[in-house]
Amino acid sequence: MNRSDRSLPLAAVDPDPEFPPGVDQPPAELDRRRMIQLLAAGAALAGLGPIAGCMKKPSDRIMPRVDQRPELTPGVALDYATATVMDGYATGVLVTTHEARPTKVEGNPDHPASLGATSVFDQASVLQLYDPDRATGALDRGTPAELATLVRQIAGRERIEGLWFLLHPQSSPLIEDAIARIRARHPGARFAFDTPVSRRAVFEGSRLVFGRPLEPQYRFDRTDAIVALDADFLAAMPNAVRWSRDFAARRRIAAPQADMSRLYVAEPHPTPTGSLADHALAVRGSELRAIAAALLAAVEGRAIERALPAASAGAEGEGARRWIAAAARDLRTRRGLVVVGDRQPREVHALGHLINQAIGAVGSTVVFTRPAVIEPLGDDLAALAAALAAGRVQTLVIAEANPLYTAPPDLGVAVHLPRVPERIYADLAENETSRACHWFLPLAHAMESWGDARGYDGTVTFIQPLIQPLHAGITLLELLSAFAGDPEPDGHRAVRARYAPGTGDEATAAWQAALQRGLVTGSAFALEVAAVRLGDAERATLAAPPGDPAPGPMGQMRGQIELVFEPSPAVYDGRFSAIPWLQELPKPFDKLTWGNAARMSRATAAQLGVGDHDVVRIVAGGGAVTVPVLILPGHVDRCVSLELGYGRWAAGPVGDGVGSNVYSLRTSDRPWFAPAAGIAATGERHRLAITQEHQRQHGRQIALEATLDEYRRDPDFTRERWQSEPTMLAPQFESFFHWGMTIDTTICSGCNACVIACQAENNVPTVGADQVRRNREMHWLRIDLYREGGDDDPRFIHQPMLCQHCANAPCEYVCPTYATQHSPDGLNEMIYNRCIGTRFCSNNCPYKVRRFNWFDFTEDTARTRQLQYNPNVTVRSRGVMEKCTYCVQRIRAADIAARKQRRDIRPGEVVTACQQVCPTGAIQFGRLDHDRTLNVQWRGEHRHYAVLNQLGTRPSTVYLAKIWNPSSDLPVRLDEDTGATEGGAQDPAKPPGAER
Amino acid sequence: MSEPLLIGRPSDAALGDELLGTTWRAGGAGWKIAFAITGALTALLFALITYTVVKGIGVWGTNIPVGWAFAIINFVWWIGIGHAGTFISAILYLFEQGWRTSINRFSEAMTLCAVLQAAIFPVLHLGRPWFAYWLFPYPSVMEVWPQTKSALPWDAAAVSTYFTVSLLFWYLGLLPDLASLRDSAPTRRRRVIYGLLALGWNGKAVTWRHYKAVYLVLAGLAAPLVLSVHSVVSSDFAIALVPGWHSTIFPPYFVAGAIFSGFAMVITLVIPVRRVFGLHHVITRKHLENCAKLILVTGWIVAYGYMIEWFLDWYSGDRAEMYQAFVARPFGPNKIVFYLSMICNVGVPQIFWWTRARTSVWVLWIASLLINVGMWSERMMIIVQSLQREYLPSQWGDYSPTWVDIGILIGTIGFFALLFLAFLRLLPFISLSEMREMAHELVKHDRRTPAHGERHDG
Repeated sequence: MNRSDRSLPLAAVDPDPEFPPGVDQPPAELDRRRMIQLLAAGAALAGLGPIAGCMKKPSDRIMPRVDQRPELTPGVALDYATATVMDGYATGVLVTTHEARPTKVEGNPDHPASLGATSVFDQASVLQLYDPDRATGALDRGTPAELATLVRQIAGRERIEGLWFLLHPQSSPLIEDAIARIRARHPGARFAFDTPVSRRAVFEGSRLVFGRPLEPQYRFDRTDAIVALDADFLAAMPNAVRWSRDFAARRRIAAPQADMSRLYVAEPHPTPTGSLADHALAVRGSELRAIAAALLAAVEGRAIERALPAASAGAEGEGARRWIAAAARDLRTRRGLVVVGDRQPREVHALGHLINQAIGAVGSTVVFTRPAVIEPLGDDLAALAAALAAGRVQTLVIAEANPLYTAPPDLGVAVHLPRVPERIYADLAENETSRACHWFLPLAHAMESWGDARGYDGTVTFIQPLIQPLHAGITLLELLSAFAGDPEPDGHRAVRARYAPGTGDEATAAWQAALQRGLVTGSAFALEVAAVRLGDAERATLAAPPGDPAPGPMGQMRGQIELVFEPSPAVYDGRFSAIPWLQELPKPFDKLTWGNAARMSRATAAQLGVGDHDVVRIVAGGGAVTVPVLILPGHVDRCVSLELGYGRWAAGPVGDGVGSNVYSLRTSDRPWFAPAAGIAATGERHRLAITQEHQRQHGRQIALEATLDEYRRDPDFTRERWQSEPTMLAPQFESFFHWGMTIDTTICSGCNACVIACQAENNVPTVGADQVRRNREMHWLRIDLYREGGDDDPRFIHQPMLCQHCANAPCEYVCPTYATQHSPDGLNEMIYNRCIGTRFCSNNCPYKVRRFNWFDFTEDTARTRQLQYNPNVTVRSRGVMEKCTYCVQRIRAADIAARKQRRDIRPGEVVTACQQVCPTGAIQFGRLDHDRTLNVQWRGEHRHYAVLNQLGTRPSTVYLAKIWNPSSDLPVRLDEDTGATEGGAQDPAKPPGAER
Repeated sequence: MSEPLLIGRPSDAALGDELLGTTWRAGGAGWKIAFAITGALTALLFALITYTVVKGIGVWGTNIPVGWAFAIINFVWWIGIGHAGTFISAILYLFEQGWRTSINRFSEAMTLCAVLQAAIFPVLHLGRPWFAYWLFPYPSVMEVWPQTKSALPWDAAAVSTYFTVSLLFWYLGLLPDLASLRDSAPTRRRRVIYGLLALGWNGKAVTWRHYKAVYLVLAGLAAPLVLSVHSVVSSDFAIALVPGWHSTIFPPYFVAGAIFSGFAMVITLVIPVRRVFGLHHVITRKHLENCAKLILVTGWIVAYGYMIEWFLDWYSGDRAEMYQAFVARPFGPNKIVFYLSMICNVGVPQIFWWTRARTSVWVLWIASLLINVGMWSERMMIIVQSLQREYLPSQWGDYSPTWVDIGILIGTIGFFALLFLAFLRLLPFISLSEMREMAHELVKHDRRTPAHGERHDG
């Protein structure tokens, strides 16, 4: 052990600590001294080495630093391939670790579900690791117990009668094995797989049509006309990250004469996918079946009126019919594809398959594999609930699922679960359900675990630990192995045994190579031949209007308000409630943070006599909740959409009491769309924490758009927003080495991944709902949402807005202390130590991208969460201004590396956090002299523009206008002038370029 | 027709007794109550300053986009109020306006008290107030200087210069009266203290000669400062590109507004003081009427500033500017300050076209209070309303103050009043030497003109 290590007190005491002393203490009691000890222990862990293959149980040999692997250099970050798993679907990621401390998640470019990008949830998973409210030890009826003892007790039992498991859907081959072994040891064992965002309907739909559960594998990169039926395939479906990249490949238009895909979306409320739709049709969720049936009729050349009887009458139906006709024509004549969302019932999925079959999409734009998750093979929650009610469950093991919070009340889980004689619960942290169980076993975080999981296409992906478990923890695989009789389950051993059984040097090298890649190459599922096995009678039943009056086809819901449920784009089903980044994430269309709302159209709100922030009481499914109203343009009328995942009461201090729990309104037979029994204003008001209140451009030409036809007619339609304004000032010196960013708004779906990636990379604090209400959120990168067109039929433009790094920066000349100034390579730099906090720079920033530390937000950040901080980025103290730096730490790291090798920075060598994470690849960054990069090529496109260029700020960030590709069958919705005035103060005859 | 500047022709001794006696005649219960109230408010001010420094300025209502609010409003407002003192004592002195005599000391003290209030805010509003000295070009070993393109270092320089010159000018004018106090004070302790403060004034002719020369020079130095301070303050806004700030009319418009509010504050203070001390023959209706006339003049300059701004906002063709002027201010959040400024700053002064309004103490006093409110509102309109509605609608945000903001504003009013009351009790608030001089000149004048006693200014 070298000298610096010996100075660390903890490392010296015990050279072989399985867990560093102190980590088993509740973090709430951490004092400063203990914190420093923990940090020292973290540093000591660097010496122990997070080396692939000896992390979890380094019991055989501890290697001092002098003997460490050559790739480990203190101060140099390392990336390890592992995976994040959501409801069974794995996304390959690379986790950046600093001295064995995971700090940042990036996508694994080799992984088919990632291609280098990640979702919001993947990004936030690193903060979940450091959640200070994670369980620190096992509990036996509320009193601390030894985890190993409990595990040995479990392993010692055989033939447990009435043994039930309730798990999230799983895809891990190892867990599948373990389940088989459990079934052998406990013959009556039953497994229920449940998640509030279940995809069973997808598998049921394919079972209906193809005779077995199949997973559709869409090929958006080969599709020219996409019809999404309530399908948010760019943000809310399991393979969304990958599909975003594929979709963008056909959507991004590089030149006016190039081609782009066309997107039709029918959905009840705006979604990221819907905001990119050329033709979005707002329909209630229950009406999608009629729409799908009519679409099937249309592509088969039959009259659509039969499938859409009620709709064909009214004016509303007229719009739907035209939409269907246009969509059908495109589906038939171009390479088409219909995508049905996970919320839709199996009949709609079946109709989707039939349409795809009819237009020849099957085998071309959509192929099928077996599902990655084993969910369809197990029981569902209803089966478990029935067993509970019948008293057949003697021992219930629940891992990760939280039925007392999420289960529909009509299943009676909350009533019957406490009657089970033996209840065992395992999760990262205690929650609503764990409180009702006898044993609580702390689960290890994925970043502390060994394991495997399958990606959406079946690719086997490894999960490897990056850090010693912060708290005593067991993985789900190990827990299941214990039930299979293993008294000392070891995930590492299991993974090695399955994937690298050999012991020789060659086997070890192959194993390490596989771990480095993070996946088993070529392990994706083989394509399945999907042949329609549907009788004419069944086909007729599907195609005819459903007999069930409610949820019925369009028109039958008239007078009644339908509730639509949606997993929160921020905290999902509630499992991420304890992550402040996600709670404070402005949701894509209402920019709401810290809570959910009853979102509805303006007409519906008027009908109910309520407005924004008014609290309404909603009664449905036997439950009632109070929730504030938020008017959402683009929302279908007579419908209220509610986000799941809020209103928790045992999620810890961050998640408790945030928003309203709408699970109580759900029923098991209609989990996603249900008629409301009653909605009434309570007369109370609750001010929601919203980060963007105004979505209109007021004719200011901030976010530009054009149709493809307009773009072809006038490619330079953005000229007034990039041509330089005449100036009397001397030209600013600009070096050759100038960094710049280009953002294509055509393919930005507003998914928010960049917002969280920026937050994770740059140590951006969260501030809480009260501070958000005071407009004090700290995000360096926000996504501005602009809305054009009417409230019923809006067009959305997402405009990621970050520091524009102006060449003539208005912030720089007003700073009295030189705290913000220009670097020679074109960056607008912020010198925190020189900032005295006059805020003049923020007042003078026309983009309002600067953020101020009103309080010591870092001091208020939980100390375990501070372990996530990126050591290469200064943590800001109270009273200083901060803002986007273009990830200057990454630029300087590349610069140093290049100088050491006596070369120039290579094109593409510097990637900003937002660019790296973007699923569609809408953000490009680089040096402006690297003219073969996408960044520079994009800037040369006709449709580029600079926001507020009339002010003469000369930003380094350039945007590409949003191009729509509407069908000629449907009226073009764009206004003549993209800057349609609303304030009315502008003389319409005046050309916009004449401003200023 | 017009009122006299001095009613009666008191002797030197009578004037001395009356004007110096305010410092040693015991105050009644009213004084004690007044000191108690203002002392409590001052304590509140310092408690809230401590709270702000300890917790961070997040305890205020400022946010992004409204990065400046109450602190800067209060700063500009107090600095503006401070303008009248120097205007009266320096500019009117240079123009030989005799009517300034009885109110100049008083308004200079008001200036100093107001500038002290103002000086709190540029420091306190900083994120890290302990580094406020970085605004000054001190000889740093790292050779880092203030960034002089910004208006803020100039602001710091202008305000500190203004305060220094105002203090010197005021103190110089006090010297003869301090000597009189020394000579006539009833107790030894007072004689020692006033004697030290009088800096050895001996009343010789040569001393008077030097005194007059220095006083003239200082008046000449102070006069341009009246114009420069608020011009520099206005450039805190004018150099920015915020719609509603970005305007070249700001310097003259701010100076006029400052003098406008300063005279209003003089009236607000002088009317009760004159009544409490019974000085109706020294501070006559003539003085009040002249102040009212100046309010009318400067009020019209302010109104002209508003109109030019509207015209230029329209003429610029800039949507953001036009939205700011014609939508955001009259109809946007905090629109009440727009209407208050229009009513109080443009409407109220128009009553001073009528002599009866100019000479009615109650009308003057209420109008002056309304103008003070109006000018505070105008600063809120310019600062807060502009920031609420800038270029990107996505970042439009509202502002509302917290209890700390309001407490600090009230606290500065209390602190101002406390300092001013202390001044009234401890120093002769009307210049005795100048009053004696004027009385003598009026007597001479009376002898030359047969119509006795009713002629006035020199």
